[in-house]
Amino acid sequence: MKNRIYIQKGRTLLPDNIQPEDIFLNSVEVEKVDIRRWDCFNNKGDCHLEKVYGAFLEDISMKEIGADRMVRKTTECQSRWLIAAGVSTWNAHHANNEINDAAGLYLGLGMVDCDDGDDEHKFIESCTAQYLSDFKLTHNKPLLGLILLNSTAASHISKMTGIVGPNCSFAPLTDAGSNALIEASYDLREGRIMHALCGGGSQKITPWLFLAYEDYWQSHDKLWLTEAASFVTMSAVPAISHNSGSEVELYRYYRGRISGQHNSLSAVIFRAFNETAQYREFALQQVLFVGYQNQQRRINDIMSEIGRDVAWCFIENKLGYTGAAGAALALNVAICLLDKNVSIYGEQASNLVTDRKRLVLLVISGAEQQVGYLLIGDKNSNE
Amino acid sequence: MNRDVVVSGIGIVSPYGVGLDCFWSAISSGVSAITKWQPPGVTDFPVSYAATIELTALASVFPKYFMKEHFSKNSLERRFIFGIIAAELALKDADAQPGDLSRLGISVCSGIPEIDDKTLVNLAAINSDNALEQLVAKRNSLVNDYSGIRCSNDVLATELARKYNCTGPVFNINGACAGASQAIGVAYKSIQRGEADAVLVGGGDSVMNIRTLSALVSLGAASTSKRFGDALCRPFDENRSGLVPGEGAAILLLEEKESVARRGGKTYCRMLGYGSSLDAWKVTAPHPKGRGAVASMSRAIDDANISYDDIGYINAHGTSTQLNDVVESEAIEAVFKSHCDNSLLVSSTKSMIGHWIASSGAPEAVAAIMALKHQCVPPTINLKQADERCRLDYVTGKKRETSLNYVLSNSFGFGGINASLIFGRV
Repeated sequence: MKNRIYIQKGRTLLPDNIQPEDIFLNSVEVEKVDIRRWDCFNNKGDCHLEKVYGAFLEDISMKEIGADRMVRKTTECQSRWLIAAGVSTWNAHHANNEINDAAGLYLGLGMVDCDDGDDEHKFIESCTAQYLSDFKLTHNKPLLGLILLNSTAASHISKMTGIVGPNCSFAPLTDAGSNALIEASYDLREGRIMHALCGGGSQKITPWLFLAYEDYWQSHDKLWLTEAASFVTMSAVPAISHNSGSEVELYRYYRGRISGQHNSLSAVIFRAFNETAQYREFALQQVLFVGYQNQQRRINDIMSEIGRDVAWCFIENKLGYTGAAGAALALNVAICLLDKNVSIYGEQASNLVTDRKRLVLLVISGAEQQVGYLLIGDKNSNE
Repeated sequence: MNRDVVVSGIGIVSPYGVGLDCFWSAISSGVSAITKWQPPGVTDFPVSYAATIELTALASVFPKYFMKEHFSKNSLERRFIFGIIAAELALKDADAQPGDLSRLGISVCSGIPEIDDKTLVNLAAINSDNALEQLVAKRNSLVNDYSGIRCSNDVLATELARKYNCTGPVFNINGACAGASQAIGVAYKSIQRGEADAVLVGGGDSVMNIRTLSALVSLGAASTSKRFGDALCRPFDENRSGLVPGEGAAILLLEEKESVARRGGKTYCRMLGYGSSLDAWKVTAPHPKGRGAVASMSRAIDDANISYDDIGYINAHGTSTQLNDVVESEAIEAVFKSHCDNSLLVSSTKSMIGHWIASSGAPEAVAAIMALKHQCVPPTINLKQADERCRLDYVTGKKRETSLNYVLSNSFGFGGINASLIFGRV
């Protein structure tokens, strides 16, 4: 018999210490700045985007999670966000950090950690490879190699949590975060692990990020990037007593790539809705679209076609694009909506009146036509 | 649902050249691809031996992959070019058209973006406080077409997904030096559970640039010795001095068994097991008792539902570093116990092809599969006097013909990220 999967709310890091519930329930807005102030964007011809906003996370203290000096020496802030959010999420649900080979670690990582240092370039005084070589060999930080390696964050999280089980880190966009959640779900369902720490972090916002994704963003007319990290824990056994909140059950999940008529975006979304219909005793409380900032018109059309009277919204409209953090962040939002019995219609939150158990559908879009969904809901004691 | 998974195609771009035949012929004969090397324009770089691929030679065989218009990206790093060519070779080897393969997925690892030397040198022109901003503004003139600065690290995965019109899952995995093995393992599970019917798996990587190699030197991981010349890579030897870099790509077509049968394809072997683990230890060293290595191998054996003494050959991670080779050898002893004294053979093909870093698990899986196919274990070369803590049969010097039913391939990455793969005879 396949295991059931329970998901517990975890920690999310957003700019200015805002929490997802502040944004979605209390209309708090993430403060974003126009990053066209960067010199590189001063000449409009250099940037096709009309608007580029960024919301920035502060670097984070590692003290609260008891990190040793080596963590700071082998990471930049992008990894530190991930480590802090991951370790504190695990600690909230697992009292000790003993070695646990029944626990797995599944991450969505940004592209690379150490990517924004002017120091790396402005030193170059002489335009030769020999100078470059000499300079690098004498000025490199001794542990630079580990800083460059984005999976170093996984190693630190493993050490600080005692997680030594199956693991996988995907990178670098929204699909990376959803692949992490879905891979963990399969491993839980199949009994490879009993517990999982899952989540992701966004790539730090720098000119390098713009360079790497310039092609990817060609079809966008505006861009709102938000630095974030977000985690959940997953378990094959319920961790929280049945009547308390902040724990939900995962019912269905899917990932693939849309291509052609039979696996079109609308076919996938229709299929996801059909899956919800199989849970007759449940009401579909909410649909959250993640990673669709550039396809909202298409989603509007599909939702009209589906014609279901259901609350739905785009996560990015409220908090910007968070890359590999997006899927776990949306999952935390979904748990929060179930907890508070609230639905979001577009931009508007309203209380839900139902005596039925509730479901939330997350539909996630990633790079190069990747799509996935997760269907979560109240724990089902009758199944 | 536990469907049978087989390897039905292999493509490889290696320092020996293009294709599987030259790769297997060389490694089974103990031929080293490691030669004297320096970054262009540098005379005294401390990493002075490597197994590299001549890009211009590759371009003459596959000119289309060196044209910008062939890709969706403005810029494509060499590791991605290697990977895309290897994928084409894998499909050709499998005699499969992408249209023949339902729910085709991609699962690859290609490391992290690199900045090539030419681009870094060009950056000298923007010596100022806002260097990065200027870099963006002047990107078209400053950044080499083969620079990672203009590449996301998932380019190999996304280009392959687009090129082959995939409808299965697409994974870009980062797991340090275990990344390609994790990519193979995750895809194997994906087919086994019915999520995909076929997946192009493996990886491509290249660290032949000053920025990354100098970081490996600073870490103390790369060998800077000149003592043994091109016999520098000496896994398990008492005089080993660190990893020797290599580059290339290997892509396998993993396929559900029935899918291969339906289209009349060939089968190299079955894929039977995958294990992964974390050390929960220092980021700078493997766990001294090989905790993660033991767990990784044990999980793969459990997953394959075989006994540890069924394994006839282990393609070791065998990096030629002080720490890895001892910890890996002792971990193998801990898992395989008395079987180590009987017929278990272990070799490190890195002794010939160098360390392909993020993609290293892919050519090593290929070596293990070919050993199974030919019933012949490739050697560990340059091993003259084993470290006293390395007590296994390392198939020293030349290949050994033997009877193999199951083989295992290890990849143990920086920071204690581990993966083991098991393949079995058809």
